[in-house]
Formats: sequence, structure tokens, C-alpha cells
Amino acid sequence: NTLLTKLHNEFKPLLGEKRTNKGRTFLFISLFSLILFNNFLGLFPYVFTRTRHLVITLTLALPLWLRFIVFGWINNTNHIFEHLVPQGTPTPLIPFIVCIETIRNIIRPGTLAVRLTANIIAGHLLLTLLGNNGPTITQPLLGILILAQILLLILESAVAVIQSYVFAVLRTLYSREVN
Amino acid sequence: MAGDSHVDESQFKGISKYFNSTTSTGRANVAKATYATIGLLVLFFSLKPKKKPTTN
Repeated sequence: NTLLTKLHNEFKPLLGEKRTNKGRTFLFISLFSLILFNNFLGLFPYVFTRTRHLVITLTLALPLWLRFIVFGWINNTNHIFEHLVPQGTPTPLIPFIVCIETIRNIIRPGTLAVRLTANIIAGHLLLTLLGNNGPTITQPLLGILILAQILLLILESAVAVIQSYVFAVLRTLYSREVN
Repeated sequence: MAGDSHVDESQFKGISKYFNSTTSTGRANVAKATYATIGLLVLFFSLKPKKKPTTN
């Protein structure tokens, strides 16, 4: 409950004080919780990690992004056009910035999904590769290997929390841009 | 993105009143103009007649 309250207090200023934003933090808090639990469950041996598959992470990222883009273009068209040009951009750079911002908006669900997948895969791969060497190495090195595995597991636990937080916060910020 | 509530619009004269990177309307207009230019270029190159190779 403390964690959820802290998250709510964290996301609320990011979303802004508009009346239409009431209750919206719960969407992002549930997204955070889903990714967090999936990441943590994957750290147990022989447990299938859902968030290491692009199908799952893209399923989380793509519909939300599509919803915000469609809503934004239909209801706040001028606001969306404004966001393509950051305030104070030098005049010669404006056409390039518009193209870059358009591409940035289009690849957002991909980057969100791939960021989570790649981080989870990298950690799990390292743990697996090191673990595979266990039966073949000598006894003195085994102690070092076990210590390395424990440290990596702690790191992976931190990555699990951080990546779920990053996913939820970025989604919050992207939704803020649309409104 | 920062709003433009503190920007003095009277500083802009002529075309920069409608196309600038400071006010909300200016930024939206330059983005629309860029998209329109790209659209026109795409249209021009797609409708341009292609040169037929001469055969003897």
C-alpha cells in the first residue's frame, strides 16, 4: 500500500491537475505492478519470464500508444503539431526537427517494448551462461562463480524494479504530451 | 513541453507572427507547413511522368 501510494504521488504531478486526469494514475500503477511481478517471477529457476518476449511487451506498449495517438490527433490536433517543434528551435533546423520528432513518435512503442525485453534478456542470458559453466569448472572457481551469480541476481532484481518503473513513467510522460 | 503564456506576441511582425518556434500557433503552423511541403514533394515525384527508354 505504501508503494502504491508513493507511485500515485509520483505519477500525479507528471500527469497534471486537469479534471480528466483523475484516476488515470491507476492505469499506470497497474501497468507497473504487472511488469514488476512478471520480472520478479522470471528470476526464479525454471519459471517462464513473460516480459522477455517482444509479443508481451509490445502488447503492453502498442495499444496504449495507439490510443493516445488517435485521441491526440482527433481531439487536440493543434497541440500535437505544437509538440513536433520544441520551443526556441532555430529556424533552419525546424524541418529536420519536425521529421525527427515524427519518427520519434512513431518508434515509441517499439523502443518501450525493446528496452524492457532487451534488459530482461541480457540479465537472464548472463545468469544462464555463467550457470552453464558450473559443472565444468574447478572447485576454487566455483565459489567465485556462485558469488557472481548471487550478485547478478541482486542486480537483476534491481533491474526488474527499475525497468517496470521506467516503462510506467515513460508511458505517463507520453500520455501527458497528448493532453 | 513548455507553454507560451509568458511570450509577448507583439514582438513578432509579418510572416514570423504566424510561423515561429516560440508561440503555440507559430509552432503548430511550421509543423503543418513542413508536412504540407513533404506531402507536395511526394505527390510531385509520384505523379512525375517516367522517362520511357527508347528502343530501336
